[in-house]
Amino acid sequence: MTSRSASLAAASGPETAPASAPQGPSPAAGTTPKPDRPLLDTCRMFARNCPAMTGLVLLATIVLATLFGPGLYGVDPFSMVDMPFAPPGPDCLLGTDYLGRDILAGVIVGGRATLAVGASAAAITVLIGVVIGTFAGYFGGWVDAVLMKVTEFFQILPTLLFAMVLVTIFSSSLVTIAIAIGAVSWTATARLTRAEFIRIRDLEYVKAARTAGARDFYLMFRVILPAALPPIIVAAALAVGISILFEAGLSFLGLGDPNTMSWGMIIGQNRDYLLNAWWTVTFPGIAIFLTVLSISLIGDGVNDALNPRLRRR
Amino acid sequence: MGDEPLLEVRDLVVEVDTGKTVLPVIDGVSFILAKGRTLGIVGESGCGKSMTALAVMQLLPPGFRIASGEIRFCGEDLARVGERRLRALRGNDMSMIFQEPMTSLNPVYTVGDQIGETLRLHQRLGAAAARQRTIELLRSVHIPAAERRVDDYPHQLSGGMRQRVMIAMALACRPKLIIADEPTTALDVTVQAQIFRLLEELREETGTAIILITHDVGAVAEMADEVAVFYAGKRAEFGPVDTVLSRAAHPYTRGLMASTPRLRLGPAAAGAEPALKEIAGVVPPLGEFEPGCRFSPRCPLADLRCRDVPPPEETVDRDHSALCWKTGLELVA
Amino acid sequence: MSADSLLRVRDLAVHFPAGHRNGRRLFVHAVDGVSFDVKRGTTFGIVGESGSGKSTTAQAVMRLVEITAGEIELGGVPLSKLKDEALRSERSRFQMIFQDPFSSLDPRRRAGAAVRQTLDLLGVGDLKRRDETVAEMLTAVGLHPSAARLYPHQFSGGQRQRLCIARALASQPELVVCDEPVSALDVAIQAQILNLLRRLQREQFLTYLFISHDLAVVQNICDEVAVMYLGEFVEKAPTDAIFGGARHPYTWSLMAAALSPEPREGRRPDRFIVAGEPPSPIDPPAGCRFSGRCPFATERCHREKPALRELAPGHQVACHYAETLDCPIPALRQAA
Repeated sequence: MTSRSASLAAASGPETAPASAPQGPSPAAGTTPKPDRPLLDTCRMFARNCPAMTGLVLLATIVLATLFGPGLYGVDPFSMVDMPFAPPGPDCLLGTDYLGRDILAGVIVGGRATLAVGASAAAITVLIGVVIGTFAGYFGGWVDAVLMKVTEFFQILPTLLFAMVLVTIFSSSLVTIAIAIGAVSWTATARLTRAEFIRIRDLEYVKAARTAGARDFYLMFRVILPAALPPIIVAAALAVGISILFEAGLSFLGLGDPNTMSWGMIIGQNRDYLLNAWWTVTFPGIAIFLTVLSISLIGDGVNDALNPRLRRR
Repeated sequence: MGDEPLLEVRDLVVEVDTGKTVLPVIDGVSFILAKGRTLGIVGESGCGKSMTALAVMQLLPPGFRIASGEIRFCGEDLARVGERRLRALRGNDMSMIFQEPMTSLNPVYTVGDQIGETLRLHQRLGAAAARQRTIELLRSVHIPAAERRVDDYPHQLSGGMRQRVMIAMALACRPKLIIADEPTTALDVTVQAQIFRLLEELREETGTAIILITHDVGAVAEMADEVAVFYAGKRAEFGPVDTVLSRAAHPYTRGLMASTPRLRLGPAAAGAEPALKEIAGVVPPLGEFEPGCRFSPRCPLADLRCRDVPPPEETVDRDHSALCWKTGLELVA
Repeated sequence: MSADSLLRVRDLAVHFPAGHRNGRRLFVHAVDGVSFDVKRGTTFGIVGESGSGKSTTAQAVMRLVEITAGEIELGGVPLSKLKDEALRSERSRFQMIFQDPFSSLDPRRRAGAAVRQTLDLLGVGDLKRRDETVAEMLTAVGLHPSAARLYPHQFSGGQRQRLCIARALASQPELVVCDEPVSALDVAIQAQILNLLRRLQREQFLTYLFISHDLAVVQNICDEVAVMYLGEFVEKAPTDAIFGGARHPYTWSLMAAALSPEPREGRRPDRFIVAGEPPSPIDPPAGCRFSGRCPFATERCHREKPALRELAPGHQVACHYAETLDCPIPALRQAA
């Protein structure tokens, strides 16, 4: 009931498992336990996790910088403001690239595209993965067999190559890039979702919901999916990081949207001058590194906060 | 009974450190077990019966520790002998059988390897001798075709067979004491009967003493010579099994027996089933006990004194005692 | 059977696919042709060991598993023929209490929501009426109405089972299928739940299909009992008849193996204990399914399958030698 007696039950094993609340004809009376709020518990657990909070603050800073930065630092990232390869100095804080464009402005503005592509590609990844995994895991049988064959097909494709083909065939706009990334990276989420569904679908409370008159869709999305969410949320957080790296990779190879500034594009366009002008690739590289690091710290934190075994300490 | 008891537990207190507070899981428990006898420890979930077993084996989980009291095994105080001596004792002179035989057997080794390992470690037998002895042991627990079964992996055996293997393993070094923690709870009734008969036979053959830990008063009636009834970390009642079951002195023991449904066979089966007597309420959570008797909130006989003053250890009869203020009073139905 | 039977099960079979062997598809014969009737307001017990198919029978009645063959009728409605929406709309009439009070409640739903679930999903009554029903049900099972806003982990095992009972009764079902409802509980709590089930049956004229492995529990609560072994009924009779004079060797073995809290009169070396464990339900024996373990088995038993036949009114036994076998249990011999 209180966190103390719950931790006791966990500590002393099955022996003390029941008998944590008063019972009998007049139970729970008198010692009315305070209503439990799982969401609040999870947030509290997360807030106590130092690396995760560091990641959150870092990510928030980066997002705010890309949102409001261009307004405060009014330099156009496409205009040539100085001579090419100007090193970091008082005029251009992070130097200029091979066309004399301001790197700092590029990093600030480019973050928008990078984060947007990362987030939307991750959303597509999770959406496809969860839907396929849900149907495969819930229905089993031939539905499962067909969907898993499709998943395996996508798994054995060389992802980068396939995404490059997609971007080359369709224009290299941000939307295409996000869809291309999503289309090649949903398989892991699908397998994870399917595994969770198979574990949960035979639990007695799922059967109980069915005997209560629940339809298949209700069971899938209202009963089983909420129980399967914790690992999916963690996978989604990590998918954002992976998508950002993927986008950077595509831009590096020259397949990014040429009309939109992004971190990957800065690095890609300056890759030939890496040895002469280190600052052109280092600063967008650091931006990518910090973003992905912060997201992965948050992912770990969410994982720990959602893990009930760690929660009550 | 022998002159010197095999196992003597005196005023045992086991505490758990929850991080915030330290609470006693077992609070001053004593009992004596003579050579070749069977002691039944019976009680509900959380009464401390399994912890007592682990304390005797000196295998308490992390966070739990023996705060005070003595555990004397063949005259040695187990709390003081040190880890090296304990390792020699465990498996050799005392061994344990657990509830779920599947999880206590290693799935990647054959049955023969696992029993043979114990024999090689403790009895320094060679590989061939160990195998021969393993087959004998499997035969002694009535595993058919023991010569072939010795090369089986645990998953190839049925639940009853696995529990037989566990018993064979526990018997490998002819221990003086076997602690069986709910050995038949995961098994079917007809298999349970087989396992109980097997334990009984083995005890008669080898003279091993047994501590049977169970939630089932019926199992105690079947197997035990003495019985200790546990409630909320205290030993509520202790005595010879026939005396305790026929003239229970503690209201909790009587409640436990009255709430167990009984099979009425033959002529007794006719007529409507009487409603079962209930023990109202549940065991309070650890650390929220009354200052007096821990059973008092659920006890139909309890008065103010019961609630406020810890009850004395009342001797009802020779060898039969109860932790209660009102041992003489009959339970009012 | 008489007209007042609520549940009618005829030749029910449930087989699960179990892979292939030598190019042949294998099936687990979980339930293999069982028939029974449950009269309104009574309790029908199915007793057996693990793997006997008793839980699968319960789940088949609840339409939670695919039925391979046979018919199930609830108050004249052919449940076994209904599909999807038609079945769903009948679900308020038959509800279930599960074995494990820990896994049978959704950890993310408050107690009130769990009890209301059937009403919400089937749209029974308006919102206010549903809240009242929740409070009534919680009170009826001995919980305080304020418990509705707690989460399952805040209850003890016994309280959770009370909650499950409240959930099952909320839609005022005619039939309640109880699948080992007390086996996960401590003895003292077991008695509370059994007494509660009996009281609710009296007050609300409920009909129970009660699954258990514990003969004493079954005797306590049931009016009629079927003993199940490897997917088949081996004996079926009114409770008094079966406990007063069982005639199947498997029933005897269960009775002899049951433990009693009575002080014993010396050891019981003459106890009737059958050897072995149930064989695999994938390839059940050709003749009598118990013949491999039965101490009385003859060559005929291994070869020829005994049919369930009526020895006395309502007392059916599936054994070739039911009339002639000498009962090894002294108490039962006295009765004969």
